Amino acid sequence: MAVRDSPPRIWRLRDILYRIKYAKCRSCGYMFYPPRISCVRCSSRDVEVMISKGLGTLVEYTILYQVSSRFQDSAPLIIGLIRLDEGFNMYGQVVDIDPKDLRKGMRVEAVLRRLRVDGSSGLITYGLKFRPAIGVHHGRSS
Amino acid sequence: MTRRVYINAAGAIEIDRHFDKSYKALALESIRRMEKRFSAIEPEAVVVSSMSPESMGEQIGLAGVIADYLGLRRLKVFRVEMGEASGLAAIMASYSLIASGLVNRVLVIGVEKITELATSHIVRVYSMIGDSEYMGLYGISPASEASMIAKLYMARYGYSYEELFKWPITMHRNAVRNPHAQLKFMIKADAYRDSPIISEPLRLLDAYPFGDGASAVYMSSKPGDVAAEILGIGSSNDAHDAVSREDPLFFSSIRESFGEALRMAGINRDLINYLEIHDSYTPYSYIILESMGFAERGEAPKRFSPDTSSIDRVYVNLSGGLKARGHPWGATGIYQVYELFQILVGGWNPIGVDMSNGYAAAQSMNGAGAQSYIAILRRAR
Amino acid sequence: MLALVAGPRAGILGWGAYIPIYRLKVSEIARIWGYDETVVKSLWIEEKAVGAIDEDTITIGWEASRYAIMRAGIDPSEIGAIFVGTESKPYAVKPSATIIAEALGIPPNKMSSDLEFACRAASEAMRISIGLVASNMVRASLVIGADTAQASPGDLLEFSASSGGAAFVIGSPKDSVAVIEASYSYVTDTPDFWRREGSPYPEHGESFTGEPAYFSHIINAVKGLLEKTGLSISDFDYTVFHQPNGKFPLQVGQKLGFPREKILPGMVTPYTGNTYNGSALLGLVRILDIAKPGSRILLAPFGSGAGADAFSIVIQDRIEERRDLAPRLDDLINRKLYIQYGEYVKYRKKIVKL
Repeated sequence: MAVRDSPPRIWRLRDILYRIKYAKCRSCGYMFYPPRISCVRCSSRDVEVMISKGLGTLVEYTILYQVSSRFQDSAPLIIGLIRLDEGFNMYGQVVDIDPKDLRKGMRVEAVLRRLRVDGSSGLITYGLKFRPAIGVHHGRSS
Repeated sequence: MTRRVYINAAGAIEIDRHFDKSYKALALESIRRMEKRFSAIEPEAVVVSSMSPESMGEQIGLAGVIADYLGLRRLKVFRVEMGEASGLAAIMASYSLIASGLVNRVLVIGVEKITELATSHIVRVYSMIGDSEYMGLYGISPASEASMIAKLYMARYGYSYEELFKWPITMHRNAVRNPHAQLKFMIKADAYRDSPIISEPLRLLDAYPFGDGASAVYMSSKPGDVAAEILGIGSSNDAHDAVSREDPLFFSSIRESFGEALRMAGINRDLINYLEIHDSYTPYSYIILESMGFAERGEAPKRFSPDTSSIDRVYVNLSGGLKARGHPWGATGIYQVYELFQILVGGWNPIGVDMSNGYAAAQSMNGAGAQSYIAILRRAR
Repeated sequence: MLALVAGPRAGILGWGAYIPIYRLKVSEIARIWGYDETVVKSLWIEEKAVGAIDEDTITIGWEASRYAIMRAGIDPSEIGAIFVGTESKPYAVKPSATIIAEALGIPPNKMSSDLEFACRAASEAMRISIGLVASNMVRASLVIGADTAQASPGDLLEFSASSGGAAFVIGSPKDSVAVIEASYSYVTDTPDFWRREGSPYPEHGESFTGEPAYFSHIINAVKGLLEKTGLSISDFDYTVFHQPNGKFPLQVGQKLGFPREKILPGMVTPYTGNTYNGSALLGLVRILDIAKPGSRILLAPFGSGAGADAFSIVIQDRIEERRDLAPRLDDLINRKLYIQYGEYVKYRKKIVKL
C-alpha cells in the first residue's frame, strides 16, 4: 500500500527534525525529551524548552534487524540510547560506525541525515542522527 | 453507587494466520464458540477492541460494520483502541457502561488481523504505537525499545541472556496445553541459537508471534447461573517512551493500575493465584512481575519458577502468554479475560490445580508500560 | 591587513569541510570493471569518499556549513544569503539552500538559491558573495560547494566521482581570516562534459575535456587575474586548482609556471576523489588549515560547460585563533571506513529495486 508523506506534516515537523528541543523543569530540575507541557517527574507546568548542542554519550545500543518497511534500505539500524550533555536521555539512530566498534560511553554528536524518502518522486525528510563525535569543538547548536 | 459487573460467557478462536477469515468472519466465529457453551446472548451494546483495522483493513468504525454484520442492530456501538492494551481498555469501558447503570448487557469483541502484509509492513504498522513525532519517525521500533530495556536490565542486575530466556521456554511449554494458543510446541533451552535476531539480543523466540484472532466476552449486571465477577479494575499511564522516565526498568503505570484494582477488589496481592501478563517481549515479563510487586526489582528472574510457571504463590501465563499463546494486538486483553473465565468458571484446568475458587488477574499494557490496565476477577458467589 | 590591489573586496570569516566516512579504493573499481592498473595509477587517485545511503548534498552542505559558522563565530541569523553550488541536487526543483538554511537556523530574511555550473557553481557563488558583501546588501553570505557526484558504472569517471563538500562564510574583510583581494572569471560555451535533463549520469568528451576545456579556461582565468592585479606567479605561496584527478593540477601548474611544492599542499582529490563543487574549494580549506598569516593563495576552480575563476586570497592574523574551532580537513580525510563495490552501489543507489 502506498503511504505518502504529507508536505504540511513534514513542514510542521521541521523544528523537531532539525533541532533537538528538550524540556527542563524549573521546579524539580528534571530534563526530558521530547518536551511535554508538564514535567515527566513532578508534573509541574513550569517547564522550559531549550535547544541541545547535540553532543552526548552513548549509554546503550541495540542493532535492529527487523526494521519497518520505511527503513529497509538502512537495515540493520543501530539504535542508541544517548545521554545528551545537558542531562536528558533520548533514542536515536547511530551512523558512521561498524556495529562491532560500538562502545558504551562513546562520545556522539547529532548530525543531519536523510531520515525517510517517499519513493522516487515524493518528499525527502531530513532529521538528526548520531555519529561518533569528531574532534573536540565548542560551537553553538543549530 | 455502582452496580456489580459479571462475565457470563466467553469464546475465542485459535490464534493463527487466518488468511481465509476477514474481521467479520473472525468476530462471528468467536461468538459462535461462546454461544456453543452458553445460551444465546442479547446485548444492549457492542464494544469492539481492535488496534489496526485502519492500517490493515482500510476500515474506520470497525465496531459498526461488525455489529451490522452480526445482525446486532438498535444497539449502542463503540470501538475502543489503546494500542496493544485495547482489549482490557475495552473491558474497562464496558465495565463502566454496566456499573453506571447506563447499559445492562454488553458484548465485547476483540478482533485483529495482522498477517495481511509482509513482515516489514507489519513492523511499520506496529511501530505506530510509538510517538509518530519521535520513535515512529526515527524508525525506533517497539522491539528495539524492548531490546534496549533488556540490555539495561541485564547490565543493572547482572543477568545473562540465557538466564532470561527461560521465560520463552516456559511459555511454550504452557501453550501446549492451551487449545487456542498459536505456538503449541515446546522449545529447547538453546533454541535461541537458531532463532533470527530481531534487535539484539532479542530473537524471534523472545517476541510474540504475528497472528490473527478474535475473542468475545459477554458482560452484564446479573450473575445468572454461573459467572465470573469483575471485582477490581484499574488503569494508569506514564511517559510514552521508557527512557524519558526516571527509571526505564520499572513500570509505574502497572504498579498504579494494580494498586487501584486491588483496592477496588478489597484484597491484597497475596490472594491472587492466577495471573495473565503482557509478556510481549522476554524482558517485559520480569519487569511486569516486579512492577506488580511479586518480586523485588531485579529479582523476578530468580523468583520465577519455570517448572511450575509461578512466582510467589501465583501461577503466571498458563495460557502461554503473549509469547506463545499469541498477541493479536487489540484482541489480546479479551483473550486474557477469556482465559481467566475458563480457569474460574469454564472448567479449564491445565496443570491439575483447581484455581476456580481463587482470585485471577489480567494485566495488559501498550508499549513499555506507557498505558496499563489490570482486571481482577473471581467466580461469582 | 595585507593587500596590494584596490577594488570591491570581501573576506572569508570562517571555513569548513565535510568528507563522508566511507572509502572505496580505486583498485576495487578497477577489479570489478577489468581496468589495467597503469590506467588507474596515471590518474593519481588512491581512493574516493562515498556518501552513506542517508547522505546527500544537503546533509554534506549542512556539515561543512556548521563548521564554517563555528569558525566564523557568528550567529546564523547574521547570514543574509546562502548559495549551494552543486550538480547533484536531491531535488531538481526545490533548493537545497533553503533546507540547509532552515536546519542551520538561518531566518527567512535572506537570499537563497542553488547554482549550477558543473564544478564551479560554488566558486561563482563566492564571486557573487563578494559583490553582496562589498555593496552592503548582506553582512554575511554562506557559500557551499558540495556534491555526491555520480558516474556511469564502469566509465573512467567512476574512479574519481566522489562525495564531499566545503563551505565558507563570506563577510567584511576587516573581520576575516583571509581577504579575497581580487577575482576574475573566464567563461565560454564549451561542450566538454554535460548531463541531459533526466539522464542519471553525465557524458564527456574524454580527451576533449583537457586542452580546450580545463587547461584553456584555467590558464585564461589565471592570466586574466594576474593582468588585472599586476601580481605575478612568484607573489603566491600556494596554488589551488580544480582537481578532477591528481594529475591535471600538476600539469596546468607546470604550464603556468607554478612550482610543484606550491601545488601539493592543496591536493585533496588523490585521497578523497573528485568532490566536484568541493574539488578546488577543499584544496582551499586545506591551505586555510595550515597557512601562516601573510600567505597569498591563488585559487582557480573550473567547471565544465565551461568556465574558470581565479581568486587571490591573503591570509590574516586572525586565522590562528579560529583554526581549531572545528575539525581540520585532514581529520576528516583520516576518518575512514573502507567498503567494497557492493556497499558502494547500494549506498549510491545504483541498484534497481521495486
